[in-house]
Amino acid sequence: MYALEYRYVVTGASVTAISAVFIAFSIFTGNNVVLGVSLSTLVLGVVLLTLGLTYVEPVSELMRYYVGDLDIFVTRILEDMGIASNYRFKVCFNEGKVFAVFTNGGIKCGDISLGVGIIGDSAYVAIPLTNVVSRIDKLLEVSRPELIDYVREVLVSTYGICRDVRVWRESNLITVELILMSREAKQLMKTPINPPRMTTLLALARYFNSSVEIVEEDIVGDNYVLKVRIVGG
Amino acid sequence: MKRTDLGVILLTSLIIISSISLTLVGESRPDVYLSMAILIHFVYTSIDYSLRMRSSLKVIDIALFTVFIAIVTIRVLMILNII
Repeated sequence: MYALEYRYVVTGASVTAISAVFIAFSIFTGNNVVLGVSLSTLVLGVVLLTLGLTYVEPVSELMRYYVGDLDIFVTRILEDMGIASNYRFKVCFNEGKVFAVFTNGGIKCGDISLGVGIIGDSAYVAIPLTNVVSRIDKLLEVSRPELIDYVREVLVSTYGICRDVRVWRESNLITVELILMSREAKQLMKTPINPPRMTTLLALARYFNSSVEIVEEDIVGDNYVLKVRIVGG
Repeated sequence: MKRTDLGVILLTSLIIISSISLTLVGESRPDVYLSMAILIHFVYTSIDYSLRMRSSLKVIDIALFTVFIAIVTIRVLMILNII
């Protein structure tokens, strides 16, 4: 499945069009040098156009299929635990352990361990985020940036999930708006794992060194708005 | 800078340099410019695989190869005075 790289499509189409004009001009005026140069640039334009129209990141293509298979597995686990239609999602950040947690109750992060479990009347599924958090950790190694700069660095510069972000904070409630989600990110949102949501919560959890949970999420056009609460512990 | 961007810039630079070089030596046969551009495309995309990894260039390869073979064939026939 091709993803289209619009920059190359636009550049290729422009170069091809300009080359075609110069080819017509050179045929009309009988200038062979201009014809030759125009033919060279025509080759370049056509190659760029083809590159843009058939562009796909090879590893992300593999990962997309892998995530798709993982989602089927996670969905089945959630169904078996009876929380597929009524789970709350949070990221637990506790004593060096980081989990993405699906639960139908108010289980404390300190009580959660990797895998599936039941505490009281509440069931949970905890997925580790060790590798993802180590990647994000590198962004906080040197200095502690502003929250919005940090979120932008993770979601826009590093992972290209969206074009920009807006962040509001009211005490322990943080609202993050992911502006103009990429097409790939929008596809990934349709799954329980939902990597854009998971990455946003993980970034916030890492920034505040605290567990966070989703309060509300909404899709407005191409924007994704997440309201997150810092829960601590 | 993405790997693909670098590859595109290098390919563009090579084609431009070859066109300028041919112009400076006074080459006036258009098929020479076209052949050089096609050769540069094949040679570069074979050495630097980043462009081929991220797109399907099969159709354009077949088209360019066909054009190149046609140019060579016509030139050979002209040398042999067949056309």
